[in-house]
Amino acid sequence: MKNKKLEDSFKKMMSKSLLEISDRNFEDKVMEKVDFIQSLKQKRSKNLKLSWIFLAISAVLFPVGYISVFKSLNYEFINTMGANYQSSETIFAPAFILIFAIIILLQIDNLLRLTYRTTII
Amino acid sequence: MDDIYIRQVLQGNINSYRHLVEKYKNMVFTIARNITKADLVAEEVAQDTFLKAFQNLKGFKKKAKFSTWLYKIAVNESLRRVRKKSLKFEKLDDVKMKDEVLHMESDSIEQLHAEEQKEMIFNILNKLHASESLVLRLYYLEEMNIKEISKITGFSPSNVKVLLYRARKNFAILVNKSMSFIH
Repeated sequence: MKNKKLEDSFKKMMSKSLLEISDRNFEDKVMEKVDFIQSLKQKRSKNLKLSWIFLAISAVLFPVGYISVFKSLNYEFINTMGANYQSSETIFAPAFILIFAIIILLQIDNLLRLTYRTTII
Repeated sequence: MDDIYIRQVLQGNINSYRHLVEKYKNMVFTIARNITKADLVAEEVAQDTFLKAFQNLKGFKKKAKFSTWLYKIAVNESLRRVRKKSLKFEKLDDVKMKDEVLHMESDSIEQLHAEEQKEMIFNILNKLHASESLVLRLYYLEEMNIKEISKITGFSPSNVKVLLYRARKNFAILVNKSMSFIH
């Protein structure tokens, strides 16, 4: 019985322990920042879409461009540069593929991080 | 009601978020003030809490109440500001929860003016350890249960019970002291 009275006293006293924010414009300030975040989110979403599209395009165009440029090079031109065409192909092609793969993977990693990041600021 | 506003915000009606800010701003501020012990810092924490909640609203699982989720963010943001990893729970060996009847001069407090009462309660809660006053406020002011308080503070339910017991005891002691000083 006495404990019940004490519990009621605690409840009554604690109901007076709520503090109030003195800043009357608190909601406005928060909403202003919320609007700003929302506009950034929309811009980011648009930029991300473009980034994915360009990444996909470059992932296709670069190898195609490389093959067509390399194949169109004149054998004699390469030989005059003091290099052997066969050895150029065996050295440059794997090196190019490796560098290209690393760049593409790094870009995919960055874009995935940005796509799944929830916070902006 | 919160669910409706949350759904509206997620559907793109950002202005509905204002209702949530209006409803919870004072409690979020109270939690932040409780931990940081500074008004200005607490206001900044309250702002950051609402911004963080807004940005993570999609990830809010409706298993818990929105208030529980929001207050958890407020606690974490406050701790980040005071550069602490978690709330402190001092484990005292001699703390045994007895079903003892605490005595508190609550009737005498009623005789004070409303503003004096508020100030006194604020000062007493300020003197208590941050985790103790936080648990008291969540339990009595927000009428949260042990499980919800446990989620917000990160303490185990049994630790919350110990903390609540200790907080009640210390609060009563401080009330009695203050009242004897006034009389």
